[in-house]
Amino acid sequence: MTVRVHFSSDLRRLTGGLTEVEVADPGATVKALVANLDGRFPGLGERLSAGTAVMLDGEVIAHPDYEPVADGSEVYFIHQPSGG
Amino acid sequence: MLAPMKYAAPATVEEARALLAADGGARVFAGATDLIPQIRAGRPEPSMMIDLKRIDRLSGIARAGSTWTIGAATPTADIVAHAGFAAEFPGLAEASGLIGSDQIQNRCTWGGNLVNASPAADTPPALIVNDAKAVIASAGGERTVAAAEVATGPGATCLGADEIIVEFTLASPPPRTADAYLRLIPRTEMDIAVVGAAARVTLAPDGAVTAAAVALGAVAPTVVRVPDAEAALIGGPLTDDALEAVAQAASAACRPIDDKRGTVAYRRRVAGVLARRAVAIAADRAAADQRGASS
Amino acid sequence: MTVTESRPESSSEPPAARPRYRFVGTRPVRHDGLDKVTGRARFAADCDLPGQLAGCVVRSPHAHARIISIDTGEAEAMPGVKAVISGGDFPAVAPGDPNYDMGVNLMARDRVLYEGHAVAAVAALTTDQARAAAAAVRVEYEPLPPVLTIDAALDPAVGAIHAHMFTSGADPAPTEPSNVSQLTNFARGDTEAGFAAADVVIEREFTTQPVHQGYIEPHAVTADASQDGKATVWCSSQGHFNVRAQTAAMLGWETARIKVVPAEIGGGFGGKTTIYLEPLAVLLSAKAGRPVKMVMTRSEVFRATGPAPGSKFRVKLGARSDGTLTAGKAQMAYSSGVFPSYAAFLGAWTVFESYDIADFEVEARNVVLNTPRSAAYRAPSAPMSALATETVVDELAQALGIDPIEMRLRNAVSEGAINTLGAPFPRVGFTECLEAIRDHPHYGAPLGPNQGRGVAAGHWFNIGESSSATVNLNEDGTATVVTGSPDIGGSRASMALMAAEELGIDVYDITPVVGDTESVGFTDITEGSRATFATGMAVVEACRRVVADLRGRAAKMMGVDVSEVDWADGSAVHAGGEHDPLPLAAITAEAKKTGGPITVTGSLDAKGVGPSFAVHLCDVEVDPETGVVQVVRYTAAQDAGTAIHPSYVEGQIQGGAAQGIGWALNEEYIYDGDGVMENPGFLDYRVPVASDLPMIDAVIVEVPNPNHPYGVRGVGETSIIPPLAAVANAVAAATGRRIRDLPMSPVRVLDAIVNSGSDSTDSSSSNG
Ligand SMILES: Cc1cc2nc3c(=O)[nH]c(=O)nc-3n(C[C@H](O)[C@H](O)[C@H](O)COP(=O)(O)OP(=O)(O)OC[C@H]3O[C@@H](n4cnc5c(N)ncnc54)[C@H](O)[C@@H]3O)c2cc1C
Repeated sequence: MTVRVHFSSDLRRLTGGLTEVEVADPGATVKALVANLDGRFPGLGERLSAGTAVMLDGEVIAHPDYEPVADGSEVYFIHQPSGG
Repeated sequence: MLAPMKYAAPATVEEARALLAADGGARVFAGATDLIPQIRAGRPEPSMMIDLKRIDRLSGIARAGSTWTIGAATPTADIVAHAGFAAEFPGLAEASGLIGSDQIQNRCTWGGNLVNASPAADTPPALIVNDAKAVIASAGGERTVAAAEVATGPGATCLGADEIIVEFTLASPPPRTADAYLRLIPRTEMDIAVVGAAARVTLAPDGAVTAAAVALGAVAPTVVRVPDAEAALIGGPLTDDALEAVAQAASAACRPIDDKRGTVAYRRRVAGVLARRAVAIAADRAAADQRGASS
Repeated sequence: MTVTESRPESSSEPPAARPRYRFVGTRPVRHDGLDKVTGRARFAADCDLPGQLAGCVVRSPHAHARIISIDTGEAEAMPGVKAVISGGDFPAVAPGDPNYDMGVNLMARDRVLYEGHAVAAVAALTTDQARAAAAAVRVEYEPLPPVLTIDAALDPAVGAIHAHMFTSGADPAPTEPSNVSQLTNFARGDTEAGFAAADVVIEREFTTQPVHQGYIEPHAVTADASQDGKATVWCSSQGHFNVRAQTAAMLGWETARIKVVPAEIGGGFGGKTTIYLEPLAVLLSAKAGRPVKMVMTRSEVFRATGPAPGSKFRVKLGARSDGTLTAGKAQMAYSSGVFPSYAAFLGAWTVFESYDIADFEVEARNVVLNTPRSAAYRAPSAPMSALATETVVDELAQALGIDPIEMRLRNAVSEGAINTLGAPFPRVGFTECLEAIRDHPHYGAPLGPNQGRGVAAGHWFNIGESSSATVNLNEDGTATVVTGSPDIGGSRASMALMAAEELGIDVYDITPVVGDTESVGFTDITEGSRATFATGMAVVEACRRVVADLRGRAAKMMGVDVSEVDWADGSAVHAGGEHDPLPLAAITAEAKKTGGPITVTGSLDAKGVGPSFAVHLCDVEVDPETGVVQVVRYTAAQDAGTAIHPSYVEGQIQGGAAQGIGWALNEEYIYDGDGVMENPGFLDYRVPVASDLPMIDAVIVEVPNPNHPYGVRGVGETSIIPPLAAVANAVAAATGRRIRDLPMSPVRVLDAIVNSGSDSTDSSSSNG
């Protein structure tokens, strides 16, 4: 199974300039996917677990750790907005 | 612990003066719309608050012959609502009706506005162009002082420690005479003047200006009369050039400061604009004054 | 009591496309309305307990100083004084601790960091005694130079306020401490190429000053600490679970030791998403053994609670002659007061978010100053970023001779457009809002002399987060809906409307309640326009489970299988028609026989937020001789998704517009050279008064959010974003002068009119 992962451009520092990667064996959940990405881009895991939301197949999910990912999923790591 | 503040409501001027003379920490008040906020903001609490509103002579609006007498503790709402007074002094009524809001005007007074001696107060310029007099109760009896002489600086007046303003007197204006008051505030109400301008104009039947008075608020420590503006008006018709001379004279007469409410340059410029506009409004009113036609 | 439905006149009728609802979209009088207009509603300062003491805070007169010593001896000996506390009474916090910023902000430790910073607090029998004792606390200070402006904070030669603060997000990681707390960079494509492809490029600088949320109700709290180590706290806030968590963290207590009871709230607008007094009151109460009440003065609210940040931007946009935006570049700085915040990050995210721009670069810095710690204010950071973008877009439209709405329509994001972060937009209603304004009679109405018209847009993400709701059915078929969301804008009425729609009972048979922290499940703060969206979802979920329960009970009563029972219009209906429908009240009357009370809790972390757009249209009249700006007509269109209670949607739109107009024209924090605030009151901090504003015509646009059961997007924040630029564009149209430094006070406007050289620092170029 393969998912496509998109990073907001301010994360490029941690991804060696990449804003988009394909992950071949992402694991079953967003949390597993983050662990996988951290192996590839050290430090990214810590950054992504602090206040990062995902947009998964069109829906914003604020606390996505246990959200399942499926073959062909589009995962956008975005930031958790706040408000007044 | 502080001694609790005392309250007194004397029925006569003599009683009020005696209380004031006996206690150096006592303060008189009318509407208390300046006094209470000042205490809340940290000014020392008076040992005694002497309420002037129960003294008959200090409240009321009366005309005897050509003299108007206004009690110093009369709420400005009453003055604004007095049709006879407002017809003769539209500008002074305007200034009285600008203070704060309806709630404030139901309490606040000319006496308080003048004695509080804020450079930005609204009624003093209008009182001054109408040559109002303050009748002051003193130890030796009563003395009469021009409204222009009461404030001597920000928060300072010519009143002695035990003196009280009893009433104001104003001569009924001659025919074809009217006044106007304008102020600049960033909002439309509940604000404090950045510049205030009062004018009074008397016109001859041919439209020539025969008498004029211009006074500015909030541009100096006390109200500024602008004799150069008055001189530029008197003797001629109200031309654009004359109005421009008024504006320039008013700007030149200012001694403003830079503060959070406005800059020197702004106050100077707008003082000229408001003085010019106030003169024009007063002159329009004077020209429309029917009393001139019948006399 | 009889309650009549009120239908205020509105220019906007809900579009016919919307599904027909029985309750959703109607305008019942809010359930809390009568108490509010009769004065019976209890706000934070209305809580009084027997034996309570009055608390008072000792505040710093200096913007920045070292505390040499604090001597409370004299204060403690004064009559009536029962407790005195200072920084040493709180758990120690070290730089880097997650609680450091809030802990130090609540009570200074070794330094005071802004004028008004709390250094000690006193509780005494009376307010006068407490004030006198506070004045008798002797604090010896060694003044330090304050950092007061964004320029100073950006200057590396100016010493860092916090020795432990290194700019995060900087590459390479800095080795020196700095007053820049954080740096955000977003970029896409090739900006230089994008500008080269443009026919017109305009670059401008903007500044705005800190502004306060201006809620009428000052912060107030009553705390009662008991002998068993627990405490009850009564206060108004936008989130009492958050008050509980933060108070517990500040005191080092377990969460369960604190109960927070929400009072009615007299305005928050983001400013009541954090705490200032609560831990002080609990600590004073614990020390004195009596309840303690603390109420801020207005001056304290201004000097010691969080304003929205000030800002300084440089924004450049390029467009082709057909109006297509080709590239954008933004350099931004936000000042968050004395501690870091997410302001710059949100500014960077919002500055170009409304438009489909192929190539852009955004760099945003958050700086710290010796001024009060900033707090959220409706759509934090977006009003300032929209001022910049919407002004430059307006100027581009002008330069290209394109109608300003048409210019925006050509570039507006829509579903699938890639946002600043790189993710696609869901279905949004920006185009619909632009069209609503374009087609409004206001857009073509004639203008008088010295009048000008301006248009501007705004966007906000809205957020989801956690919410809980409990639905209790009463014996007679009425219901109570308990949620954990403080009601800051009419949300109780919206909860009741959604519950009425689900259950099929009258909206007035439902009592919507805000429960305390021990009466309802955890609920996040009412912020991010989330209450009607997320808490509404929890209500709907609970109601649907109630209906499932009701169907089961009805099946029992009918003696049929539950699969044969449907729910329609407030009754259980037998599919086969052999049994009469059972209304809800008939089922609750038999509840004891069919399984006991009917009560269900719905708790969730809401997914699928729907971003909201707004477009505002403003007419001003400018006195060319005094610079006074009067807003003479104002129309605001906003996509609500679905307006559950249209009156309160209109209220949110009007309120945001009013606040934004104040921000544009007169509101600002004014500091003297030492960092002492010069206008800590509503006389010289000028929010608009009623006579300053025209009736604001609110146009509700409804493009339902597909991810909410009723299509809700949030509406609480977007309305404050467009006014700054809408007013600025209108002033420019009226005067021919662009004013890019807010507020546009009479002094500034007259200066721009009289001294026309104000464009000299900016550049506008034509590549054509
Ligand atoms: C919300 C608000 C808005 C305001 N707006 C305005 C405004 O728009 N324009 C403006 O000019 N002012 C304004 N003010 C200030 C104030 O209302 C006026 O100055 C008012 O005229 C004061 O009158 P008072 O009777 O209330 O004075 P008080 O507070 O009773 O007295 C003021 C001072 O005068 C002294 N005093 C009063 N009467 C006498 C007397 N007869 N003899 C001797 N001393 C006396 C008192 O001892 C005290 O020192 C505002 C105040 C508030 C609270």
